[in-house]
Amino acid sequence: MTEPIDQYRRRFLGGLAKVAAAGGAVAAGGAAVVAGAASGGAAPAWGGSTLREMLGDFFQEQYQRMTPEEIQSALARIERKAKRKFGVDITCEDTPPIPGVVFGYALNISRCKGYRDCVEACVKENNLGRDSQVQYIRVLQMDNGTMNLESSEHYYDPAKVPVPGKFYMPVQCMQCDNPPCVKACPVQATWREPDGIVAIDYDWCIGCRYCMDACPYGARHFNWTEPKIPPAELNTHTNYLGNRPRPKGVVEKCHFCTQRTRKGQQPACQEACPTGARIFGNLMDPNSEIRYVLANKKVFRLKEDLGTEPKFWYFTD
Amino acid sequence: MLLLLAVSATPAIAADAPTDAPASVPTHRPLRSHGADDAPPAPTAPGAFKGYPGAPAFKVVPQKDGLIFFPCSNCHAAMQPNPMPRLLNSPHPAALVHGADRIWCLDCHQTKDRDQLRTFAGQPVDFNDAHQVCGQCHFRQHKEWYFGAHGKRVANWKGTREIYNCTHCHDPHAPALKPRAPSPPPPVRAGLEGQKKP
Repeated sequence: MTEPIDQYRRRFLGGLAKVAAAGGAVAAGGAAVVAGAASGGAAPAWGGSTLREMLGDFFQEQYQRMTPEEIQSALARIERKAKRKFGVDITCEDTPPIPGVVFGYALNISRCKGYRDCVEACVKENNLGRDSQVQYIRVLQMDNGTMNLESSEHYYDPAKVPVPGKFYMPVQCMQCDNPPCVKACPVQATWREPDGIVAIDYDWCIGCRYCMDACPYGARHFNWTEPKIPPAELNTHTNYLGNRPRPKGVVEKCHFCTQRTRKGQQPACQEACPTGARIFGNLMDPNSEIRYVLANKKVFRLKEDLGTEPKFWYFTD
Repeated sequence: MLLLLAVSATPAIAADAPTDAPASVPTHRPLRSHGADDAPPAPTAPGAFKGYPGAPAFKVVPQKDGLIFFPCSNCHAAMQPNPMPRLLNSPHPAALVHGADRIWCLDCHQTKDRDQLRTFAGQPVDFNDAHQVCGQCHFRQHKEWYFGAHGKRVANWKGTREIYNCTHCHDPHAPALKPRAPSPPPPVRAGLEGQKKP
């Protein structure tokens, strides 16, 4: 009996690359030192990365196809990259979904006052660029008695909110059960996790932005620039499918704070909400708060007629 | 229509004939049964509210230790209680916005033991259980708070349910949340400034 040959192209090439890197690492490291000394701290080759690191990135698998060892090495690489880039030690984990849990969100629009504290907390928690427009939550200011999203305003900045005659409707990723973005992705870089979260493998995303076009909620955002974050403000508690530092040119969105909620914590927006308008919980637990809301309050879902089956409900008192 | 009239007229004619059924047999089912099961429960003495059946268990985040002047008996132990409704001086709130002059201090605070709140029936209530006082009028919010549709759960969605008391978010003497400045709006990306509405 001969051992079965691993015919998988990427894995085979990755194996070749490891051999090449082992030989080349000494030379490459020496070259980088020489280059650094000669030009006085200019950008070293391969963006400050070693050859081995660069090849590791290049041959990294799609998340769902990675073996546990490959995930571990990818996580370690992410941590090393963040250390080089920000000078901060971060921990990147791969927290699995909790069995028997499907996450759902309910938001009371009669209680939302438009303070936008959720947005601020989300930006900090998820390591979003402070100057970029990538913000997972968009709080829409709408006229009372209307439901016209096109006339809504999310750049509102009055001296005091709530403005009389307006109501506020935060919109973020609805974690649809029938997600159009997943169908649109040509490379399967986004998929629905067992706990209902629509996840993105940022390293697999090719940045084609088809998913943004497919999403009827405008929940997906393309990062045109590397996020600019002061290193001291970096959230060092990260997750592979969550808030780890992302490369430039990929699509990202709200992921219900996987790094928190898969460990039993509340998402950052719920924690920051000063009015208690946000209710998060397990849809499979009949005693959870969200199930009470769904059973007893007047709930609606945004653009429900599209059949996307969002797991994000709005309700009123 | 003619046919209908004809059908309905037939029993009227038949009713003139003597029937065998005794008069005591009801022709309709009663609208409601008023059996022994439907009797209202015997009145009991007013007691502390025990909660709603079926509500998930919870722990209220204690708040008493965070109150600045607590225990109130520090000052009030040496003072004679004055039950006359009137405006109070500092450190009490200068005006009671809550209740539009229908209530005043001693409707919610114990006259004798100032370290306790009270229900309208006079039952003492601990400051950490302030929701029992609020829930007497605001019963709808109180019920939703019990089940989780009002108020805020802290720290986790899983495990022990820890929730804020009413008084964490609402100033009991002026309960409406006050308008305030929002966090800064999202930055407008270069080239898209024209899209910003005035």
